[in-house]
Amino acid sequence: MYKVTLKVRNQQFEYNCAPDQTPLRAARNEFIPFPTGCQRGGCGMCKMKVLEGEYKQELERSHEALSDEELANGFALACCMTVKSNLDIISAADYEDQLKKANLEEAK
Amino acid sequence: MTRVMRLGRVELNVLNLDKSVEYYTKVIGLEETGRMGNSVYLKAWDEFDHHSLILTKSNKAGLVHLAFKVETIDDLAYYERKIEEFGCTTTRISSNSRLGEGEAVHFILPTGHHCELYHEIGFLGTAVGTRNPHPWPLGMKGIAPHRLDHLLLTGDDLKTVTRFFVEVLNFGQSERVVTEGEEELVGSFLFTTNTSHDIAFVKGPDAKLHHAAFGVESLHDVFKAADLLSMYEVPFDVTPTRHGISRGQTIYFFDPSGNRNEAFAGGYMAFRDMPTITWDASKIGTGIFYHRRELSESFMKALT
Repeated sequence: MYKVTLKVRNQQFEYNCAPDQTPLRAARNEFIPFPTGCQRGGCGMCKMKVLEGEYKQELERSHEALSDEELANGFALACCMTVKSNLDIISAADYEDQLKKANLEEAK
Repeated sequence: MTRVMRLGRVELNVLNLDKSVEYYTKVIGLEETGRMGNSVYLKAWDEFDHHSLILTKSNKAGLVHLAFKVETIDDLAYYERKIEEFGCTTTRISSNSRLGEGEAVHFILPTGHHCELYHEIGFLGTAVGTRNPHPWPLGMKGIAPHRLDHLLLTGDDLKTVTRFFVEVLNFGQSERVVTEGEEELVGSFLFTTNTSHDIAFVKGPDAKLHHAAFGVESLHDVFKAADLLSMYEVPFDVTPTRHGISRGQTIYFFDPSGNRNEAFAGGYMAFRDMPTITWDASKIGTGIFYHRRELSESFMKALT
């Protein structure tokens, strides 16, 4: 079992994830409100930024949901990835908000 | 009277052609009717034209094009002129650009979706034929819908796309969803056959697919579809329920590329002179999911 720390919808959750589970499935099993869409790598609703940890991303996915550039920059689709160590992830939407806030702070 | 007969075909992008063909033949239960290039052509058992679904390999999911069949070959020129008058650019797609297809008129809808009109397409016949037919064929696989039923697309300017379908393509509007004071149109259901909708739009990003629906006979078939989807471990969006809009019975699920599918049964008959039904946006939960009476995040946001 690995420990996943998830930031989503301005909240933080911690839960366990088995090596053969997706972090999306493991979260849903604990009633954690993980943004969930097609669960097929097509819609991009479960896009996360991985802040720390090892994982394996299924590469067959919609490039509109997760581009090669995003993949290279540590973004992942939580419906079609498996966890290889403890993981620290933040939803792409929350990550974007965080960046915006940081930029505003800098501008002050 | 010049007429658009029906939604004749839909072309979807798929991430893995083999997996998708397996799903659409084994789980949905369509029949493969041909292959050309990176595309596979399929039809439902009760359809008689060469294909109603084209799966095309891509690195993204979503809609490639949708096409309506018109009644005569001369209707192409008639609609071409009307579409141009509306302000959309048309181009002709020559015969046999795709398998079994005649010439088509191509244009882009005000919501950004690629759309075509056509008349000529190869004829294969239904699986039961037309002489003393049995009600259904032996050896059906999967959900085995009768036909492609309708599409739901998303777009920004629903007033203009509705005007396009009503004024140019002579569709009726069966239902609509409006915000307070009728300021904004956030849902529009349009028909040219006698079904409650052949195409519908909900407010959202342009050029996206919400779902492609296949028509089954009854609530029993919707429930059986749900059983099959669990047997094949297909992810659900929504388990069987009723729509307020259309009164149809429904189940939503996702194909292997994340394109949403629906098995849809029932719904009222629509007539040209029926008054349009209006839903207040505040009642949309009941309109879409009559039992649950609230929308879900996945249903609203998962698009391809």
